[in-house]
Amino acid sequence: MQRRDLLKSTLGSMFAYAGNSTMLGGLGLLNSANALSSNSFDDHKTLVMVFLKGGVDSLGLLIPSDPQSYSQYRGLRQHLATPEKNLIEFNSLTLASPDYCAEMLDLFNTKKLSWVSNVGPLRQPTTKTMIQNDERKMPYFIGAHNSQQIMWNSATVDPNAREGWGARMLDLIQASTGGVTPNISLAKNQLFTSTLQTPTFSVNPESIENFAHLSYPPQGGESPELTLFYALQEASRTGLLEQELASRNLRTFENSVLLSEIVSQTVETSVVYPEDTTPMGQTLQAQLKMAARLIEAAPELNHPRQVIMVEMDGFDTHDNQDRSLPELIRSLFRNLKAFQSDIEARGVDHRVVTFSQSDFGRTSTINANGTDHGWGGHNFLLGTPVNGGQVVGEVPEFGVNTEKMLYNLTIPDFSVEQYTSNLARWFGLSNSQIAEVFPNLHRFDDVDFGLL
Amino acid sequence: MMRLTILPLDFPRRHFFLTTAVIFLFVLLAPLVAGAQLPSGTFKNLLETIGCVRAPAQQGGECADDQSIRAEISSNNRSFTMGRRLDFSAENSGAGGGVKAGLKSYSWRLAVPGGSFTELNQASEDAVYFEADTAAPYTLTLTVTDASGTTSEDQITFTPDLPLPDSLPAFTPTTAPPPELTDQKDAIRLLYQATFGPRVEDVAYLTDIGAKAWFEEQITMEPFGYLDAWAEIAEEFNDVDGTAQANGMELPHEAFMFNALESPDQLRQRMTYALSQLLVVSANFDFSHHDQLVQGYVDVLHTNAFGNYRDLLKSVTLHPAMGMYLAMLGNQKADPVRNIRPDENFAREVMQLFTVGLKHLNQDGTPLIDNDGEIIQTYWPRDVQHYAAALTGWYFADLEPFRFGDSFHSIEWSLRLAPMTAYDDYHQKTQKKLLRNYYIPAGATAEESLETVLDSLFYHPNLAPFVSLHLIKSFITSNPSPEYVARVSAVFNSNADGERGNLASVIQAVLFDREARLPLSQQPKHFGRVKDPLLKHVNYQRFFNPQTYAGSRLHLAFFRPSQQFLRSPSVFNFFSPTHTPNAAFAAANLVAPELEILTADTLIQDSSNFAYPSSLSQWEFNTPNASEEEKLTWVYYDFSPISNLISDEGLDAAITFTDSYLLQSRLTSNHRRALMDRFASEVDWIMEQDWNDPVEKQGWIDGLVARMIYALVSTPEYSVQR
Repeated sequence: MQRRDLLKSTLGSMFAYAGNSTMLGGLGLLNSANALSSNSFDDHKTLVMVFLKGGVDSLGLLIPSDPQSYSQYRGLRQHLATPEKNLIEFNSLTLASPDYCAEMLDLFNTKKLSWVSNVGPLRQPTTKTMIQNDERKMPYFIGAHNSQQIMWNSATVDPNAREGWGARMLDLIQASTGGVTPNISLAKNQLFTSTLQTPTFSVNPESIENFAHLSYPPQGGESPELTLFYALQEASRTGLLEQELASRNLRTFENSVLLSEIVSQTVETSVVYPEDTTPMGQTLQAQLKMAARLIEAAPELNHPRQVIMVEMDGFDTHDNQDRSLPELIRSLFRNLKAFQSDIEARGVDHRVVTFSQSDFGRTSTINANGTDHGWGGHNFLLGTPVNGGQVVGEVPEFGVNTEKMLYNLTIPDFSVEQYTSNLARWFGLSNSQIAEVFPNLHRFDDVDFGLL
Repeated sequence: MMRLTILPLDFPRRHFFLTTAVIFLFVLLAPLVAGAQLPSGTFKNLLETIGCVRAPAQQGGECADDQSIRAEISSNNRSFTMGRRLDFSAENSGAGGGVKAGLKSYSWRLAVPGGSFTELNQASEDAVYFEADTAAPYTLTLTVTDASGTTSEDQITFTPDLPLPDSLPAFTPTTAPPPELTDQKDAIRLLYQATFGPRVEDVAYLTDIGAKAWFEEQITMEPFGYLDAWAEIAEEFNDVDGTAQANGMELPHEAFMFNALESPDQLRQRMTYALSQLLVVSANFDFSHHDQLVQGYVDVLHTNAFGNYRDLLKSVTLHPAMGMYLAMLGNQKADPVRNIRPDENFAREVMQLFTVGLKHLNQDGTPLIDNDGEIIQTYWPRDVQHYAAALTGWYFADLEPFRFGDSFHSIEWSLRLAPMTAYDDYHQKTQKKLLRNYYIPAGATAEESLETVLDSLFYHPNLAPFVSLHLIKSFITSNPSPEYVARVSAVFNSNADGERGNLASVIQAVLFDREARLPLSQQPKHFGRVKDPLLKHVNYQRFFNPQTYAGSRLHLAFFRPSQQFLRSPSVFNFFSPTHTPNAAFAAANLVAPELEILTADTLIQDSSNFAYPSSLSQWEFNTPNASEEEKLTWVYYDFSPISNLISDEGLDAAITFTDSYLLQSRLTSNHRRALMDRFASEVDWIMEQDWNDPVEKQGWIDGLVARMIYALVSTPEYSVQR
């Protein structure tokens, strides 16, 4: 059957001239024709990855608070250290967070959020001595934004990795069902939600539109524009770049048709998100609002498993950290808190886990008004399925050249794979599938964080 | 005087002689042990047999066949130079009966000067090595111990020399290929590669004067810069800049569009575009909407586009917009008391993104591989710290030193524009070790340090392939052959006049290499590059020549594409140079950088910019009663070449013309058939009507042409420049 006719027959039942739709039957037809799932799920789960772009100073968010540790922190962070009076203690841990983390602590104390301490790309379990004897024991290009983002998003130490672990999981457990693809990016970055086989679907968080002049015709109708579009895109051509673009144009059109129809059935949001004056916060908010709708629509989209990526930029605080970081963190957790309420209001929170990744943590030391690129950093999990209120691992002391620190870079305690394999397990991957998605995991202890 | 051993009273008589001899020897040896001069004469040989003068190894004391413990540091180092492994051994130490014999243990200690990170390494039981990193005294001490617990010590002190920097190999002066074109298709190709897109008159001009004259003219033409463009349009767009009344208006997009559409120095403009994606500054940064500051930065690229890369790099480094963007402006020396270190932002990115990249390269752009099959990093975190320290002490030009580090907002607008100058009190004066054994000695000034920083990067073997690859990818093809890259690198390394880094020569090598001038039939399937959304937008606008009714520049602001000039999300540009879009590309080791930002959302967003153009006829036809005031908002395109062909020669001729200029003659017969199916009957209908009003007829034709153009610019072919 011609690709175009397949779409037409699916959508034929979706579009009455009046613009209403009863899409379930039609969509189901298309999907069952192509469904090749290797796992069968009778439930739905979504992983939402929040990438904190630029390398967030997570070391400055979880501060060991016994007097000696605090004094070390103060000594290193100088005028950028949070004064004691502005710290909020954790309930039963010798840790404290700056007051601009209030919403984070709310989520922590209501058992919806937990932290994993000191995660980062590692070739193997690594000590300082190992690195001093051979620098190549470190992953390549520590401190380089692009390489470290790639390592986090691919969960490898390959700076040239071309596939994200989010999409690799989906490829393994659920071949494309022919409907809207379940690996969706609401952010600029594509890698996390792409494999070479299954490129990401990038959705505009503001609204789901389609190519100009290419509205899908009324049932039984014909659209000369659409006929021409298909003819020009499907025509055979030898150029590799041109072939990829043709395929991309068709995928874009079809995914958008299906997605816009289904998502329009969900409500915009019933929860009040915080008024956010920062551009970074506004962008994140738009992404989270759209994510909530995509999650709600997962059954209609036939996404038993769904991976969504959102992103917040601005964390590369070499400069003006004392002004910019508090604002960003406040915005981040206010928006995440609203997002959590949003998915609760939609009754889908039991099947969503949100988690963070970031290029790296930052240096324990400072420059005149900010911090520079580090290595290990703390990351968090958020959601109803999460055993909240925990900090997994031992938060390292602030120091320079201590046992844990390569000069002012923190050597990670947990590799990215150890962190991500916990999420993959919740997502429903078997042990052998986990080993396949994270080929380097076998070098590390298989640690269950007890969070999911 | 040594104490005599007191013998017990009942010591046996038979040991009397031995005892006497021992006492006698002690008496003789005591002065020697106490450091007195060796007595001459018959006793000398005797003494030498029994013991010898303890003399430091450096003074060449001889202790052959001695019996007492002796520490001696020996080394084969020809000189004591920094940055090199220095080996030291205790092999000439000894105790009783020759070298090494009788020694139980060796202990080494290294005292390093302040600021040194040198650590002592054990090579074997009696040998150590270290690398000196500071031009100040190092003291190495060796302590040996014999079986009885007696120790002896040797010590050396030296101040290492600074090494000479690693030199580049001698490169052969290489002439770039001469500018030549084969036919009109090649001319159109060159204009897509080297300008913001061919217009009918551009193609005619180029084919008329020929490639050589055209290229010469482009290289030597008077530049029309970005401050110039901004000055042209600022008033019309109500951009008040640089004074107390400055408003929030910013015009990087409009100034760029002005130049892209109207400036005759197209090759220089296109080079500026390529450089703006390498030496990235983003107008998304908070520059307080100071347009002149930002446009001034673009002018640095524009002015140096055909100059020397080292000059370009230095001007970029010292421009305050870059200084602000990557925090070199106001970066100050370390404050050990307050535990403050220099900001590393610019130091890192100048290496990673502007000059040498992350890994060592061959001259053909392929990565250098070590014996273990691994790539080789160009720099490590420690290097970034040294470069950061080397680049301290720069601020807005010529202010009173006490203003160093003041907030940007407190500096008068007019004082923010000149290149940064050095404030030596804020420059870190420690010794710094840069790449390839370039050292900045302790005490060097900020300006001296900057020159050494620039030298260490400019004379790095990576520079030629790194920059050449970027230019080839920006102008010609995303996947050049290594041989192509090597040919361009050769010109970068040494042009016909023996100059390193001459960008005019390099761009000639890029544009007129045989691989860049292949006709369609000989191009590999993977050849070409995807136009980034802004370039596609500019190609379209340039060909269809938007105008406004009143002759204003409003059209420059219309139809903003998803990607805008100078608004990269970060210093990493809009897309990665190594982006791999699908499995077929990965399998063939191919990249398509621009595809990273041609995602569903941007493809859809940008399509609307091509979907609703109007000609003047269409405006007049659709809104015949528009007032003069309403007409001031009209922006219209010129479809006349295509429309006229439809009227005069028919649809087929119009398609051929459009194919030739927009798609570089790549429409297949299938494409043409689909187009004919779509539009032929409508054209016939229009031509058959009895039109009373020529405006009405023209409106209908232009409407059809607009839809046809939309279909064609939506093809993959229009998005790929070949």
